Amino acid sequence: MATTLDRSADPATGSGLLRIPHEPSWVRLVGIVGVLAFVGAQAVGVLTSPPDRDMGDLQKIMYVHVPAAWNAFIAFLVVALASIGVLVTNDERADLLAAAAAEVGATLTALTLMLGSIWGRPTWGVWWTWDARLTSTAVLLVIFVGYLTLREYAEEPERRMRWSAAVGIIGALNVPIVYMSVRWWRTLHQIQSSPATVDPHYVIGLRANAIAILLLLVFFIARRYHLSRIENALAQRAERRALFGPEIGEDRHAGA
Amino acid sequence: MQVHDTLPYVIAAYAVTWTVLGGYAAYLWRRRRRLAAQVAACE
Repeated sequence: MATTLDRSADPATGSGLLRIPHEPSWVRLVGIVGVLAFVGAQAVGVLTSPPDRDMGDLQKIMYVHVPAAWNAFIAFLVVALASIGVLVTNDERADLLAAAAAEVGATLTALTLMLGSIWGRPTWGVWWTWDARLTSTAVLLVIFVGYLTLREYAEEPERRMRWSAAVGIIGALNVPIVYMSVRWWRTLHQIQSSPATVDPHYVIGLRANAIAILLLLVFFIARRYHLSRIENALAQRAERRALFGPEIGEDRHAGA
Repeated sequence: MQVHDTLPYVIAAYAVTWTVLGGYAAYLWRRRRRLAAQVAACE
């Protein structure tokens, strides 16, 4: 497969050396701002909001559970858009972006489920129930764990790109089902929480944590994407060296 | 009626959040360090 990292390198002849891509400096900046925002948002949520009339301090779990779920949905939206990009353009970079977003999205979905379970035990009396919201979220996680597993086992790059793009789009189609499940079916889970539906005391903490986790999401996806690009460039360079020798460009020019 | 004895659950929820997000950041950081060593060996 032709590389998209450096078009001056000719994959057919091996002429020209592959450049190793560097991570842009904004990625680290977003990471630092994200961590600071996350620490601040957690402090705001925990320290400034009063206990809920019914749930007491359990309400504070909302500040991590709900933003984790929202940002997982955003990650899967990125997967869907990048996967469409793969099918349309066949660009390796779109494939790597989709894979990075899928990994981060699956991590946030697992976090959402764990936090929901911790909230459910004292509230519902059970760690887990086969409620429509919980079940559809678990299915979402299973699909994207499957997506990541598929990528590990499909060896041929072109096939891996196309198969995982198809699974990524189908998986992301589950997101609106998860979101609407609390309205479409009679569920134990409450309806969607948003700044419009929660008490005004809790809006700032919810918004602040959502933005902080969004910054972390951007940082995680961007870093994971760039790591994949570097790994691919190193693998392609090693492949070229195995085929054409260690000093391809220099040898060809010296011989000309 | 308010749910009582909730603090351990709140602490557990925040501990899980920091562990998962911190764990993922640490995973990326280790992977980046390993790649940086490989790139340095190449260049």
